[in-house]
Amino acid sequence: MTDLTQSTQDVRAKDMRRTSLASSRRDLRLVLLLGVTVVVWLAFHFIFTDGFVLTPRNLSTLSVQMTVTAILAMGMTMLLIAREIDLSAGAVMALVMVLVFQFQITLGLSATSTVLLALAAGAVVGLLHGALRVWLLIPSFIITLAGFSWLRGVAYIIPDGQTLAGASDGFYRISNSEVPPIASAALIVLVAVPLVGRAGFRMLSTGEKPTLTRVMEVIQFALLLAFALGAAWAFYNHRGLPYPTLLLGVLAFGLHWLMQNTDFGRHVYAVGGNPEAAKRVGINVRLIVVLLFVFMGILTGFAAVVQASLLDAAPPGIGELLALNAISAAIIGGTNLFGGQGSIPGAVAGALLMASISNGLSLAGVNTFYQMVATGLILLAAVGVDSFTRRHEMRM
Amino acid sequence: MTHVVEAIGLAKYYGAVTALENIDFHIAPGEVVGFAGDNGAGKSTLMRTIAGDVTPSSGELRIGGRMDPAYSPRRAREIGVEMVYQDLALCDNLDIYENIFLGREISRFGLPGLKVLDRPQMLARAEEVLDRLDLHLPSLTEPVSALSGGQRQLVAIARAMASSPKLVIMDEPTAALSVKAGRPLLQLIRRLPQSGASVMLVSHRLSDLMETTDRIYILRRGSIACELKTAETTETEILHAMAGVGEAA
Repeated sequence: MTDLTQSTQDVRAKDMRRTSLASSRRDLRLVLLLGVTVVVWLAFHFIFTDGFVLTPRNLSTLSVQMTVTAILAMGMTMLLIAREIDLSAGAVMALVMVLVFQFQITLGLSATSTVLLALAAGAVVGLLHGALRVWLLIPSFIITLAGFSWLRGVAYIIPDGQTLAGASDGFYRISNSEVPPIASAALIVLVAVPLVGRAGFRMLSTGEKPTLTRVMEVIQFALLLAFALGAAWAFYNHRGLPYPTLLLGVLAFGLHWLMQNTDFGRHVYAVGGNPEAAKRVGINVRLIVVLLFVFMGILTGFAAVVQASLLDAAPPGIGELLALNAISAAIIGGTNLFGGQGSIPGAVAGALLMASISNGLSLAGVNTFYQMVATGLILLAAVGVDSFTRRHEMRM
Repeated sequence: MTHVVEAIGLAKYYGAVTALENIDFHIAPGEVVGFAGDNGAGKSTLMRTIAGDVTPSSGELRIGGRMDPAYSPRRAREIGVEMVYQDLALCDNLDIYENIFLGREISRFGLPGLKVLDRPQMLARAEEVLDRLDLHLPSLTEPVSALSGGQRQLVAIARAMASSPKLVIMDEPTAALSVKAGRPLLQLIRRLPQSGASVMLVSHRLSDLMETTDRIYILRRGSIACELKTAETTETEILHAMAGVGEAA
């Protein structure tokens, strides 16, 4: 083995450097995103508005505004990692919202039954998409492009083009209630302590590390601490943690855990990295793809419940661009459109940045047309930075 | 002694096309057996049949002395038949140790249909496998995309050996490597029987076969033309057998 050992050692130093950069890059992306978000907040707060942005009230509103896109971006990220896509998410959400008001008004169901049926309806659409994908081998782009049209059509047909409104109190409270302020602050501290503690521990640990890694660890620690304190402050001082934000947090933690710590999560990445290899080691690729579409459907169901309860109405035309926004958030968050790469925290951070820009521009009284320009530019910048660092690394 | 794998009159037809016919061979425990043949001689179909990827049209395939009516790639892995593909079948985006245990992750505890990964245990076991094979890789927590061709080959072999298989099928393992990079790999193949694995080696490089194998089967037009003992043959004899030189047409 001497030859190989020798050559192994030769490339080792170079590999180590490249790898520590490769794994740092995943963190770097997230840190950069959150950093840019903070800069956006500061800029709008101090320069473009008279201190309207960083108020407990606005931050609370922002956290709710991002929820729907963020929930869908998480499902989209999982699909994109496995080389699939869902263009129909906005149409599915509109359809489920319409159904929600049918359950509420026409059938007079309870809030709990309504939510469960909404999630089930989303799951059924997901199952249908997944089944078409793996049994008829139609590309998911086409299946969900068709869904984009026919599911929207059904959403209009059921209420005959009308916007249904006026759900039960129980259902209305879902998106329009908060965890009590003191409990909110306690919950945030409880969740933040292990996260911030671990980042601090890593920052203080000694050992041979590249300078970039050291700098990153300090920034990561500072950002986590700032976000935790900021969230505790904002929600404590304005009514408490809104239910939609809480739901987003719970879903994000759960899905992140699923993707990182279970064989299912690893297999999703494997399917995206090399589907043929995944099949050869005995992974049931078709089952994974179907499950991902079902997850996407259930998440769309959640988004529909949040949106329907927030608006207390179901306009069948809602969310025309939602799927594209979710894809943008996923990609801004580091998801590779060609599969194999992406993360749940990235998707949420991407959605947060997009929502922050819209929020800031609205408060600054800027026309919404400019918000569209800003979103497009952010998307290009995110992908551009990625592309640049990757090419740069290859040259090293 | 029970053969690790034994084929009796194995055949595979695709419609009117004969891919394999009258295939009789065996591999004993601890043997490294080579398969040589021209392009289209049936090497790849034969390998995929042994790996459970292709279902034979007729004949018997015995693994560890037993026929298995529901033989499949998954079943093959379960009963100790591993294949190292020519393209290695690695996931570039996953870490080295994740690739080694891909599809066979070690879990701390399982929920129904879901395994919770025991990463420290997976790392330790991956180190163990590499030590046992005397292989050396830089940190196992890097993505495979960071590795050289030779190192990737090692990861693929480590994955095959991680479950202590009885048979490892290797498809052109040195094809993508320089002669220099291929040498340690050949030494490794020669050592695999010490870890309890027989080897079925398919290679275009006759020197590879001469260096590593105990016996060589020559495939020609979907059938086994002859069997040679490596110690008693030469590359020229193999070449002649592959081309059918010196036999009545």
